[in-house]
Amino acid sequence: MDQRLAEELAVTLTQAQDALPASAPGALAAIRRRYRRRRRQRAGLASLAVAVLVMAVTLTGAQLLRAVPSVPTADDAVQGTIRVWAITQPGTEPALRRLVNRYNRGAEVDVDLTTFGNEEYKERLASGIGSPDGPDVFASWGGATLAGLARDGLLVDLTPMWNEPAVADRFLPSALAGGMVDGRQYGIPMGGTHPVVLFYHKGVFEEAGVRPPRSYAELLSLVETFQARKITPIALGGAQGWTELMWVMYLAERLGGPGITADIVAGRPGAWSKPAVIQALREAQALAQRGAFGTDFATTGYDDGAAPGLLARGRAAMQLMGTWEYPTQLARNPRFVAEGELGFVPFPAVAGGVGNPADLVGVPTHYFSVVAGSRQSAALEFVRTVASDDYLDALAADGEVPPVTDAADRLRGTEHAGFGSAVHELVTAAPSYGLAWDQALEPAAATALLDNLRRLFQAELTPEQFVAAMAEVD
Amino acid sequence: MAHGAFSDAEEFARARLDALRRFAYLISGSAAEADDLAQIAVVEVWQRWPKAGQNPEAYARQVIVTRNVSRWRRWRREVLTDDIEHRPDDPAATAVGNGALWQALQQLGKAERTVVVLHVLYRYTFSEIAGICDEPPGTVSSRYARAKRVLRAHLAPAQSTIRSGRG
Repeated sequence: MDQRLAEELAVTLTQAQDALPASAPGALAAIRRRYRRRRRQRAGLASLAVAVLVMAVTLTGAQLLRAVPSVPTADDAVQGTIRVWAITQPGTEPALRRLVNRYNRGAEVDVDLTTFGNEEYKERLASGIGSPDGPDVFASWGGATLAGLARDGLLVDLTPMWNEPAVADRFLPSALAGGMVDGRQYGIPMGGTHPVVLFYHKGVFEEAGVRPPRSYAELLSLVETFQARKITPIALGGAQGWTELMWVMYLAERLGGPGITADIVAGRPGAWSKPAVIQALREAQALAQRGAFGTDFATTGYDDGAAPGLLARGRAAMQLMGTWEYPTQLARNPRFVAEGELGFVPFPAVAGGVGNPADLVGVPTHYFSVVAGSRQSAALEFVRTVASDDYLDALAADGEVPPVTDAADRLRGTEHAGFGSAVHELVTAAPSYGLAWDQALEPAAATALLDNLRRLFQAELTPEQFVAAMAEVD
Repeated sequence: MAHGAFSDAEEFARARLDALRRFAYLISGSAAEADDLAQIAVVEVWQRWPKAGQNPEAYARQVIVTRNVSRWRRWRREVLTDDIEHRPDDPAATAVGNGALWQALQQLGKAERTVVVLHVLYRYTFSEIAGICDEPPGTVSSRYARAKRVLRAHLAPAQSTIRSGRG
């Protein structure tokens, strides 16, 4: 049996490899560009070997330019093309792609949409904005990236859109807030919203005769209740540090208020050493040590379905997760969802904390920003269309919850409208909605953050050592 | 890859880019991610050529595996779709003989999938995989066992087994 499985797997994997088309012409040139960008970022590292390599790369790069179609130039202004960059979504991206196609049929200006992988995108934004072959419109998560570009004067101030009822009035204030820098609007929401909430197994709670927690004290008492019943109180995919980050982010927000996340996202000095952050790290570590996450959380994954599986099978009672938990369970454990066993509540209030219990953390949305330059008025015209009924309805049809005031109407009649409307209610009621820290930070800092969190949860780092390690990264 | 098989970093990239993309495609399950990961791997190899040049292929594969695991796409909505005909990101979906097995591979967690690809196709031992993934060998072998349990359900009936394309 094993032999045959291995053979068939090898055949399938080989066939799959062969199905991948050859690399695009210019692939090597793209790598050279990436390499040069990276090298500029690390100019201090120059060694003889690297210098020799760069020479070789530059020479062949020049030769290659003749064979590769030249990059679009200033002719674009005459022909009326604006370049739009966004993050590649899994599969196709119907809503945005359809918007662009529709726009290109109607408007005088052509929109050229390019999408990038997640990791490359951050690098691209850092070097591409304001360069000759950079975009006129680009998507971002807000956070440090957007703030840096806005303060460098590279972006168009979109604050006047506040006076356009057909644009700004549509969006939730908490979603607009993520696109603001120093009180001015530099990003307009262009995607769905994904807050982090506390999911629970309704059947398991019923059998134990308990209700989902409204306060952190109730949560702690539930941990004991479920431990006594030999059920893991909280499923945690701790093999992936970002699942642990959710606990720390929410505890820090509840304890210290939304300024905690804002400071970390903005990279302000001392952001990591605030008392609320240290207290949150202590609470999270204490949860792990008293067994709230069971004994195997450090080797349990989320992406592989292990942690969601624990919740679906009733082996665990709760799980703190982004609202993508719902489609995840729907795909992996459809009966669990169909039988109405998957419930969720907001993260509980923490006594003595200054944060509002209605505040959320997660991914408020993605934002479109406009680069200052000769094509900015055409770009502005296009950006306004993300507030159009067509686009917002297309997002809702894709299963997203657009961060707009009338999302409930748009979700009505779509599949899973019930869940979407409940998410919308939470988002509508949230005074503050903070961006997930790992998503807000530069890639290197985010990687360090997640590594350090795993060590914190396994008691390899004290909260103080964690703070010191993060201060070094900044 | 033999020691010092490539005279320079550029030659390595020219000769091996497509192989790395195919490797990254199996590891990540997405053609777009594969392009991105292969590019990242080549850039990393170039940056560390004095060290990575000893065995650039192994170095690049290590980068692809590590970066794939640490990617942030979980922050995006990942809706699994049955509509495999319309996934330009997954050219294998309509090309493999046993589509159900490929879909099952696609739905494995990244960690399991990585072990399956490295062990079954690239013939790494569990302890080698443990080294690449920086995890205990026991974790690797239990991941493999778990993946096998899931994948077994998608074996084609015995009589229709296709002969290995690798010969």
